[in-house]
Amino acid sequence: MLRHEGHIRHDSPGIVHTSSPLKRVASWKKLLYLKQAYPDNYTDKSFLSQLKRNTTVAKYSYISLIEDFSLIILYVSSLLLVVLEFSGIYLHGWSCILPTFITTILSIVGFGIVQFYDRLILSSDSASITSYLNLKSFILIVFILLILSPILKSLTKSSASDSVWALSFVLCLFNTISHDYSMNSSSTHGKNSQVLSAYKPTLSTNISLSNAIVLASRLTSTSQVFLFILFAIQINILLPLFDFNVRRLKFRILHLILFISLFTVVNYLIFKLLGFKILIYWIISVVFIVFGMPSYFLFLQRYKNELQGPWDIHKPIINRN
Amino acid sequence: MGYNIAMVSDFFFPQPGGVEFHVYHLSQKLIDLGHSVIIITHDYGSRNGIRTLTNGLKVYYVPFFVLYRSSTFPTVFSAFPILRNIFIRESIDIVHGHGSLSNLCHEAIFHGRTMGLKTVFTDHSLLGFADVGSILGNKALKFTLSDIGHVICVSHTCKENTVLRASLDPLDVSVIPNAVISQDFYPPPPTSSNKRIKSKIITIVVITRLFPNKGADLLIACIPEICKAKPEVNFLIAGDGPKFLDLEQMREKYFLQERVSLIGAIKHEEVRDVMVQGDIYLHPSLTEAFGTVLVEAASCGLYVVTTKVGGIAEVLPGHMTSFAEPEQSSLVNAALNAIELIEKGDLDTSKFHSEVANMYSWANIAKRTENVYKSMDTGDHNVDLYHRLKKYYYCGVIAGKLYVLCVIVDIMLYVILEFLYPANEIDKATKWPKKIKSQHDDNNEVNN
Repeated sequence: MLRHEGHIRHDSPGIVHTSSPLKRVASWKKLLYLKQAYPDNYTDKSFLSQLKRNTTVAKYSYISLIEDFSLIILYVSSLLLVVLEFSGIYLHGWSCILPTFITTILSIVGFGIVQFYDRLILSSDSASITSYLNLKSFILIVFILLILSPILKSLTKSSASDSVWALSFVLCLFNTISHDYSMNSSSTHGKNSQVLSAYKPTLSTNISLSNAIVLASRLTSTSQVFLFILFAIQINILLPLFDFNVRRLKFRILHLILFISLFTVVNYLIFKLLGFKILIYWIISVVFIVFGMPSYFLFLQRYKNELQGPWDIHKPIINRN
Repeated sequence: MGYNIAMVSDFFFPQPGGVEFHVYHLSQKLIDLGHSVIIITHDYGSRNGIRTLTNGLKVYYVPFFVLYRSSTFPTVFSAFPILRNIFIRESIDIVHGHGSLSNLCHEAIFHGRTMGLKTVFTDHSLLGFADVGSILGNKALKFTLSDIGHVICVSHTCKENTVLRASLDPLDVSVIPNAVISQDFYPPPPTSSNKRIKSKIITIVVITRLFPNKGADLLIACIPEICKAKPEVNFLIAGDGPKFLDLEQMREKYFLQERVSLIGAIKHEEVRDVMVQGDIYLHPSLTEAFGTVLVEAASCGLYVVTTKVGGIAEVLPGHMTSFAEPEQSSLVNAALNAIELIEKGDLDTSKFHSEVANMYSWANIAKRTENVYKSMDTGDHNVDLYHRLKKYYYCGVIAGKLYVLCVIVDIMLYVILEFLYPANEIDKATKWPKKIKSQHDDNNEVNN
């Protein structure tokens, strides 16, 4: 692609701009203010010597990538769990009291643990204030839900069920795309590689809630609507948040238990509601995402070609005091 | 026999800026060398249609939809009819585009090649490779420059950048810098500067658009530290931008209202009058292809303290400048050293003006640009269609095919336009009568 030529081209008639014959050739300097005895298109040996390639490219290990990609499965499982729970209620008339009761107890216990450890680490008053606020907002949301349930029940009465399923599918799809998976590898830049970047699931939280409301509006009784939305919030919003905190506090075992138990429950529900064939499809796609995608990602890394040089916008180093 | 040259750029007067001045001054000097030059740009509000500037420099303000920061909307073909009409009307031989972010320039070069004209492109800016905007810009550049005659860059760093961005042969790229009109940037008479040194007050001038990439944050961080270290130093800051408010806040936070004056945006004609009020010119930019303002400051007899980024290191010799890294501590140190140099009186800035005038002149730039035009006379730049398409095809797996499609559509458009508006029915414009230059002028230019 690039041709480097160190010698002077005498054969370019128009480009040579000095009329004086080249007597003793002084070495070329990369300066504009000198009138040098070289043509304007002269390309020195030092051309592109300051070019650097791939200096900021992170090295990924396959194992850590598998861990990261399993987070996708964790989140997709949580979405599936809500959808499966819904189809159980809608098609088979399951009671939703028990599942919601279990998840509520688990949520309160789980966030209690997280807050306890946070306070151990921080040992300041700010943590207790936030936990009090969290509990207050949790109770507030529950009551608002309770008030709104009759309205939500009749929300999609005028639409056909098929449109609601389609809408729910699209919402779940967008949800998986827009979720902040807060993977470990994506924050391994620089020195503080162990610190997870801030968790910002704003868009996916909103989509999860919309999905829960849209689905719940097909249910028959107000209590079902309330319990299902509460269940969906706990599984789709609080569970990923809890998992993020677990990973932040480095409870690897707890994260693993969480992942395996959620995955098992989803597998069981798929098997029960959809049959063996669909379960096989699901497991194949899980294996593909967890083991296939990381190797494809590593394969693509070979084509990484970052170019850096003096033309890049420098990052100013400013002393903050 | 002079060439008929069409300079094409989205950026031109009344908008100020480096590209705009480059286009204007280069055109003027090319006219002096006996060529006929026209400028094609998009309309600026009511400035619409054809205008004639000094020396019969004709400017076509083509009505066009402006998308972002006076770049026109990127359509590949829409400007073809009007550009073809202008090219034929003015019997253009050479299409010379300016500015890699100027869409009109890309279109003109592309259509110029379809019409078999010689094309030159001048790149004035540095672009990275990482963000989405740069990637799209680089793809467009690669497309335009696949079949270009010759490329000019304003600095060696810019050349390296352009060669990488557009995958060019470095031998097809010349480095021809910007210049200044040294008569417009003359230092103050010596009496007044003596007076200032007696009063022991040193003024640091900064003229920059206050944008993050121009180093506004660095400037804001450095000013309090310099003011604290040297109570005799004042600042004079010209320019406007999104960081203006931050600068004002810094001034209030450190109680520097008396010592830091902010005069906002100024016109290019006023730059000299602002510069001569100071002793040091501080340039905190984080990226710069050439840095014309540095040359202007040195021409006004100011000592230049600058960050060493982009092509800046190539622009001025060491005795006029002090280079710093784009870091707060480094820039502060460089500025403090410069202040001490001035206070001791070790610095003789009186020769800066004549030295700069020798280094950079538009006449010299025009001569070198003319050489580029001449170099295209000998080589056969119009290869057959198969080879032309091949150049585009190898630009990328998917992009290459798209490019080839664009070229074919363009050729079809050319045939259709030729049928609808035959070239021989288009009125030829009368050329501005050439002025007879005196022998004296000629000598001056050769010396420059």
